[in-house]
Order: sequence, then C-alpha cells, then structure tokens
Amino acid sequence: MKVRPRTDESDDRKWRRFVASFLGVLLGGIVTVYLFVVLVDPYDVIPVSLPLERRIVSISQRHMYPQIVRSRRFDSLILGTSTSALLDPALLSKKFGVRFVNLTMDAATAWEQSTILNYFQRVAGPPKVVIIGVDGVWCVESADRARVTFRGFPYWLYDDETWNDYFNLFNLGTVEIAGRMVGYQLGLYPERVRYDGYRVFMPPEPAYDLARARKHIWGGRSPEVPVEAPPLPLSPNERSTLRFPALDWLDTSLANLPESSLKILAFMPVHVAAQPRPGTHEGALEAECKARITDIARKRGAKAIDWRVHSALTRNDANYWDPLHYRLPIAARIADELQKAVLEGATSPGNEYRILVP
Amino acid sequence: MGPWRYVFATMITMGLCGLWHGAGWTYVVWGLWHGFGLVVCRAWQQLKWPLPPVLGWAITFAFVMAGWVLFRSSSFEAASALFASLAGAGGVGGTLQSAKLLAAAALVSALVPSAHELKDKLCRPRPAFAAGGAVLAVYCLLEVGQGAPVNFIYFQF
Repeated sequence: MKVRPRTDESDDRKWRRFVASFLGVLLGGIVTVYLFVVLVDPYDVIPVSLPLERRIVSISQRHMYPQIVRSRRFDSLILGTSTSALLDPALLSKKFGVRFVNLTMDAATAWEQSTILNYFQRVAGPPKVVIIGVDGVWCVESADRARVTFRGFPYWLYDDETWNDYFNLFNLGTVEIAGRMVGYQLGLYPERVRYDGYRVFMPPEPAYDLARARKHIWGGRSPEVPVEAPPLPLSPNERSTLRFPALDWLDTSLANLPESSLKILAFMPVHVAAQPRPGTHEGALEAECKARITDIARKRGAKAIDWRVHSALTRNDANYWDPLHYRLPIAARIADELQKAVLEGATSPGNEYRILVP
Repeated sequence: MGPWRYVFATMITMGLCGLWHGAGWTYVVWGLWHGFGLVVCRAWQQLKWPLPPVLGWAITFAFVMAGWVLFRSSSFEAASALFASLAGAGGVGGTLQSAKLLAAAALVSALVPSAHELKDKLCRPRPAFAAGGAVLAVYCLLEVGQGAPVNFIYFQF
C-alpha cells in the first residue's frame, strides 16, 4: 500500500512559511500582551511597571484589595461580607480618629476574611482598629472544606512571593483590567470603587420601593410576626460534637494582634426574615455559635456588639433592600452606634443592639 | 507505508482518540471500532470494487450509529441491552420525537459540505490563516491562564 505524497515542493515552501508566520504571530502576540500587562500592572505587584496612578477600576474585590493594603495609606480596616460593605470608612475614620479602609467582600468566607486580616497585619502592620462585621459565614460547619467561593481566590496576590506574580498576570481577566486602567488614565473609564474600598452597591436611595423590597425580603411568603419563644437548649452531647471550624481562625487571628489594636466584632443586623426563628434548632445552633464568638472576644480582648437580634430595627421592612442588606441611612446609624457603644459604652435604649463584651 | 503498519497505526491512533473522549473502556472500544471501520474502508478502496453511493452511505451511517450506542452506554452490559432492543428484543414500538429538528439536522448534514471537505478546501497555507490561528492560540493561552482547574469527570474504568 503506497501513500501518495500530499504536497509538492512549492507547497512545502508555502507550509514552511505558514508555520513560520504562525510562530511569529504567536510569540509576538504573547510578548506584546505580556509586556502590556506587566507595564500597566493593574494589581500593582511588579516593581518595574510604569509609574501610573492606579485606581480601583474593577469590582473584583479579591484581586483589587491587596494593592490597597500595600499602599499603607490605611491603619485600620473593616472586614466582613456585603452586610458590612455600606459602613463608610471615611465616616468611621472621623469617629475613631484613624484611617479606615473597607475590605469587605461580597460573600466573603471566613477563611478569606482571616487571610485579608493576616495580610494587612503582615504588610501594613498591626491595625489600630479592626472591625469584623460578623455574620453566618463564621458559623458554617463546612467552613474548612469550602474555604473560598465559586469566584476563586487569588492566593498569589496575598503571599510574600514576587516571582509567582509574573506567571499569574498572563490571563484574560488581567488583560481586561489593564485595559480599563489605561482607559482610566485617558479619562475614558471611571474609578469603580473608592480607594478606601467604599462602594454603594445598592440602587440610589430615591429609587427605593418598599413593595419591591418586601418581595425580596419575604420571597413571596407572607410577612411573619416573630413569636418570642424560649430558646431551645441543645443536648450536652450535641454541644460537644458541634463544629465551627472558622472560629479557630478567628481566635488565632485575634490572638496574633497586639493589645494595642482595638478589636471589634460587630454582628450585622440582617432582617428577621434572614435570622433563625426563636425556639428552633437552627436558632439554638446560632445562639451556640454566638456564645462561642463572645467567649473568643472576651479571651482576646475584643469588643463584641450584636445587632443580629429581633428588634424594631430588624423587623422593619422599610429599613432593608432585601433580607441581608440594610439601607444607607441605617449604615450611617450603625456607624454612629458602633462608635458610641465602643468608645463610650452607650447601650441601645430600644434594645436594637446588645453589648456582648464591653 | 505497508498495510500492517497502517493497520497498527490506525488502531493505536483511534484507540487513543476514544480514550481522549472519556476514560472508560467503552470509549476505548468505540475508538477501536472507528479504527476498524477505517481499515476496512481502505482495504475495500484497494480492491477497486466501487459500491453504489447510496449503499456506501447507508453502511457508513449504520456503522457510525452503532458506534454511538457504545459511546453513550455506561457499560458493555448497557450497550448489549441497547443493541438487543434495537434488534427488537423488547418488541417494536416508540414514537418519533422532535421530527422538525431531526428534519432540519438531516438537511444540514446532507447539504452542507462535510468538515473533511471544508478542511481540504480551506486549509491551505495562507498567511492570513496562520496569523488568525496564532491570534486564536494567544487568546486560548490567556483563557487557560484564568486558572480554575476543572476536575476530570469521565473516569469510568
């Protein structure tokens, strides 16, 4: 069986040129894209990049925060999920007399929050004040198995190695953000997040619609009048087998901070629709987790204040966009109450927050 | 290339192609099935006994369809059961579903040139193709650079 040669000599030459063109464009493309990314350096990790004024042009918080920390413009931080994102660092800076940055992230896991806190301490020094907006993520039983979200987490931006940054920059996401950074320099693209991490991710206040908010809050259910039931006790056996793996990270992170750091654990006020009902097993689990967090706060010299209670604040639909997110005036009120509770020991006349550890 | 060398090379290549589609013995046998088809086709062409096109098409079609049974079966037992059903072991019946979609697909497959024909027509050593392919390759590298490893989900050995 003979195979007929598929190409003649001139075809061979053409194919050689084809391969040479392919390799030329491929290598040229790789070098051009790589140089572009390295010179623009949207995450501000490359020592030899162009001296640009780098702003936060992406809402990819996990990628953009490390450079804010490395800028060392801030000496205090706010951590948490989107339930603490509306705490305005500029407002809190005035109240506490420090320079706050808000490093909360959408759906931040406890592991991610611990990682950021440790990174801040390593790079910018021990914070003067750290506020951790506490919510359910600290009480998740699978926290050590699901340490990050589906969004992924760029560990390479939070380590102390520089060499791996060079490899990790070559991808579409970085090219896109580098493009936006160039757009910002040319006045074509706006800053997406204020440099202190603050971003109002909700629609403007005048667009608030209570009926629509109620739909989000109750998800089609009819609003329930919360019944004050006695707490359901957990059996000693269940208590001893309960796992809250994230609380070990919280304990270690707080233990690593010096005494001079003012440590505040603030349970954020989610709507009652998003809180466990009193007298249920779920409620008992949350109470147990809260008690253990309170113990950690006491042991590590932290203050703990709890807005995550059934109160006039959390029962009022008009205070919320959805079950997890309060409105801007409520954020300002929490910042105000936080300052008074922490610095002056002020209690809430309407029991809208409780000081767990003064 | 000698005939045995051709048979060996084809069977190894197609067996590996089967394995590439999924890490299970049914995929390997599916690949070998196509290797066997290619070998028989080539041998027939050497004999120079041309088949009527309609007959050639029908044999090829039935051969490929039989392969799909193997491809979509989770085990050889499942494939055997399907073949038995196709042969009428469970009685004759059933309904035709998505007739319009089937008709459209049949039209496309009959009228649009095959990938093989398109390749012969288009895949010439033109500089523009080289440049376009290289740009696409850079894009793919950037896409791969996004990370997020995906678990290989096909292990069925």
